[in-house]
Amino acid sequence: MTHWRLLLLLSFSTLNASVYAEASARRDVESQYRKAVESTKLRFYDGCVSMRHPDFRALDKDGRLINLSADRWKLLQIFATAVSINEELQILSLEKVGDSELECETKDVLEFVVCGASLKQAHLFKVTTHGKDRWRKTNRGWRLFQSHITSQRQEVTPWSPGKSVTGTNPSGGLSR
Amino acid sequence: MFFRRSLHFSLNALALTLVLCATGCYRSSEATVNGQPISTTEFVAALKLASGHKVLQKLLLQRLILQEASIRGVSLTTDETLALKKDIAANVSDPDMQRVLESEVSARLLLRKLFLTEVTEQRLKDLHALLVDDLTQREIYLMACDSKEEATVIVSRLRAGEPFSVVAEAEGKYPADKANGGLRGKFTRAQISERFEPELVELLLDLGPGQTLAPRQRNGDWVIFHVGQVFSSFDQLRPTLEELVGASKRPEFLYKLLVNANITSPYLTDQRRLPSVTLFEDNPLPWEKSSSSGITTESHWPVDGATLPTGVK
Repeated sequence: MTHWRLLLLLSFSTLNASVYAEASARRDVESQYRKAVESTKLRFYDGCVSMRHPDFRALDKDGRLINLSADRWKLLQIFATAVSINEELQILSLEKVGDSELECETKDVLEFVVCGASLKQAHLFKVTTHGKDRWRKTNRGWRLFQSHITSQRQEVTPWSPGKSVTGTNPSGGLSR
Repeated sequence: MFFRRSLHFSLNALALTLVLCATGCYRSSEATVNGQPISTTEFVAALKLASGHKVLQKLLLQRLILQEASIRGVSLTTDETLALKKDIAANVSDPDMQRVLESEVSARLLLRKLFLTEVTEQRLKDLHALLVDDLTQREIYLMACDSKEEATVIVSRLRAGEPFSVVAEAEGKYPADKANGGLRGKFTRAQISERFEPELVELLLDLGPGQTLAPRQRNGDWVIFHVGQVFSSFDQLRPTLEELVGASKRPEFLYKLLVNANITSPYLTDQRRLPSVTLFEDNPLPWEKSSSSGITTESHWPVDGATLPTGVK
């Protein structure tokens, strides 16, 4: 076998391995987003955050660090008081940054219904968040290392009991 | 004549009962203080003032669940009914309280059945595949020793096949090591992360059933960690999965029952009373431990969204 053939084979297998690794990383990351979304619907906090890297940090749209314990409390408060919860997450882009990092742009829509002063005065909260997530490869798979919220919009509308915010997307709310 | 006398007797009995009820003497008093009774009527009125709306809401939710189960043809089996009665009788002796508890436990079981009729086996299996790492529970054992040498000898005994519980009971330094053979409980990944140091968490998660970590220095002691059984299969986690699905469906289900029901009561005219904790979780039965998360379920939400989470995953 001539050298050029060997080189071609080598570069082909390297390319193949790289494509395979990227596809595998993508599957892993998608699966973890799907788990987080499903966990939100189940009000299962541990499942919502288990994809985080031990050194995970979150930044708001001005680049300031978000207080994660306060955020945890707020999410638990929603889980404990919302009449219904739904979440849908779209991966807008996903690309490799070096060998062990991935950058992912997402759009997340969290909807939940809570009661005001009266049982029949319920409101639907809709929080639309665009974010840039950075994932890092660890010996336990890909872990979310940093979440940067690039924009966030909140809407509150009156909600009537005939409507439901759950179960609108049986696939788990993840789409590409 | 006989009929009239009988009717006369019944009316007298009724009048006497009403008088006794009104004076609180029909039933023995709830307590006596230096010979002075606290009547049942007084006691009930005080209970109504203290938490009447909550108790009534709990009762009416139970009634709504029983009605809904009946409409949907969902019922308890004879075995389930007998088991719940036996459980209640073992813990509570007052017949009135037993009846109240029977209704409460029946409603709980029926609610669970109502949810589970809508959940397919495949859905539970999919959830298991997705959440198994977070739901898996590991039995964590530990015992402390004074020196590294002592701990190393114990670890070699364990690795040679001696049961951890037997060794911990015999050699453990502290009462907690000896109690339950050193078993500290069953922990999920999140609970292990909360309870143990970060460098220990990964090591514990990597241990398989029956495996022991090399001795580690911790708070001045040499500590041996051991993992007993690991509960991760679908069958083992099925109750947890069912619980998770049920708890997530509960608020919306009960909310819809409540808003669609025709409920009249002087206690519930103030709509601010609803919804309360009963929408979100069962109150613990008298013999159950409360598992309060510290999160209030009665606060009303400000519509301005000031307390929304930031939306980070």
